Amino acid sequence: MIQQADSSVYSVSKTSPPQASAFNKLLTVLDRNIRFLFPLPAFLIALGLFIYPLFELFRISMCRWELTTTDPRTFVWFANFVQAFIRDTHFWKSVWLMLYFAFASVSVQLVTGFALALMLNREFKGESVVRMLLLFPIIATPVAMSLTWSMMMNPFMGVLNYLFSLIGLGPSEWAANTATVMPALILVEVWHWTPFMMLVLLAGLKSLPKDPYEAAIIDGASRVQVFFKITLPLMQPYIVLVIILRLIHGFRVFDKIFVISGGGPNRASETLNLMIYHEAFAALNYGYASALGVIMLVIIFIISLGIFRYRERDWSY
Amino acid sequence: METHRLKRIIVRVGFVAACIVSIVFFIFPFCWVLLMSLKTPDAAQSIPPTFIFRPTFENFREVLSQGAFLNALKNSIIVTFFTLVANLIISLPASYIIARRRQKWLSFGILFTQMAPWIVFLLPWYIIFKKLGLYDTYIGLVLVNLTFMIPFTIWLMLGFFEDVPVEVEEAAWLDGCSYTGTFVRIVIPLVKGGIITITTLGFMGVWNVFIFPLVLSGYQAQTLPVLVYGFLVDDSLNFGPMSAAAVLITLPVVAFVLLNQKYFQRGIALGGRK
Repeated sequence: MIQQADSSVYSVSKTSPPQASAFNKLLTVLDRNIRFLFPLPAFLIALGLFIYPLFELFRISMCRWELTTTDPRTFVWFANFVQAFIRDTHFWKSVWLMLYFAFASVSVQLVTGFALALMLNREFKGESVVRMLLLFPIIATPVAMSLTWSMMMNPFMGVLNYLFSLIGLGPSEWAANTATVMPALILVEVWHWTPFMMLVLLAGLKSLPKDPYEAAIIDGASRVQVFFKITLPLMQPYIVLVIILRLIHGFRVFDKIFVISGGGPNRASETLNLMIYHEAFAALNYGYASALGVIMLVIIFIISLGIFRYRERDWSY
Repeated sequence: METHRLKRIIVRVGFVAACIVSIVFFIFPFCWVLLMSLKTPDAAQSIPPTFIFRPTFENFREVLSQGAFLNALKNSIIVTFFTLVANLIISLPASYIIARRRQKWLSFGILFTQMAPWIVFLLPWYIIFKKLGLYDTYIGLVLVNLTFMIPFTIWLMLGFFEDVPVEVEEAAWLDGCSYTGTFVRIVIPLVKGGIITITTLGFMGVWNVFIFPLVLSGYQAQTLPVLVYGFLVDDSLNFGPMSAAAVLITLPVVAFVLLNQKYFQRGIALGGRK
């Protein structure tokens, strides 16, 4: 007690300005509790913007709440979920579209990305230029590129139909037709993310050991054999990793679909993501949208749990 | 011998051809939008498309003279800048502590935020932000941008902090430097590479983000991606100004990332490692 009083008297009597001493005091407090105070802001943001909103989401999902009504919510238990599972004809289709979009685009990306990586896995003139040009799709603003693709895919004035006509193909309606809208969107997604796939796989290829290849050449193995018996097994961890990364992303693609097709025509490309947006901010069915959100969260949670258990052994921290 | 040489030439030609075809595929939309942005309305809508024409900057002038565009440009710059700064101030100390005290349970939390479907979180955010008056404000947008930046930064910086030898810090402590002082003066300069990497990737992420400002901003804080989308809504056949806007919004981010290309490529490789 006395000591404390002494020290405070001492610090005041010193010639240093009081502000500096306050700053020093703050620094001492920070230093003593560094392990709590350093992560505190990040923790508060997690609490305020992840944990609390989640509770809010669960609560709203059990209410009937249309944003148009003045007296907002009535508690309805699981009526919103029942509506999604049983009554809403589009719900299951939107889940299917979400899975279809993700799996189809990732498998095409994997093939194209791997082919590109194998092709570029050598030293040649202009290597850095080629690599730089391939970065462009990843960097560019997705909305701007979606706009560009939607102009290119315009059924009447688009350049893609013109290019089709040059090689003797008939015009396609692209995103304006229920049959072609999903392939068209998947094409844009593949264009966007193949370079990323290629870069990660190329980094993997460059890190492979040389010995097995030398042994294979001595044994007289053919190129195809080398690829299937050596490259593919050695690359397995990288392949699994990029598939995981891209799948997780694929489930929640929003920008492209929203800009190019808007979920249409006739809801043919309305994935769960888009459906939630439409229910909440176009139809203003807030309670129902939240229930859909909870379902989407559960789906993604189950998938990520599976991934986490699979990856647990090489997770390094 | 002859057939061997012939085979090598064929392989060579095939390689070059494949390179050209793939580059054309990935670069074509960029060239196309650039061409469109320089065309007059008549040229832009002609069928078949013209490849030779007299370029005009009319579209750019039209876009740049709109008050809404300048407003969105200003908003984009402000939101991006403050998000990146706040992100470093919040994430670096947190990542440092986590790196020094390895905590495994955190990895799942971080993994989950990386998988979060943003539209789901936007539902409660919208309600909360309306209530708190954060709707259509810079603070609101910076906050939601931080939700994806912070976990990513903490996760990416872990590796960099782990590479700093503890001995260096211990030496500083022995010399009487405080923990905080050591962190700011000794550790931070040693992870500069990580900071540039995260700022490059972050600039790209924040500048390009569309869904947050789409839901959480009106006119006041509207950023460029939302505004550019508006061109499509207003008149989907007016290709010229739409292209000019697309070019203008993409230029800064491409320029910034290409300037830091080395760090960007390393960031992608790091993202693939773990």
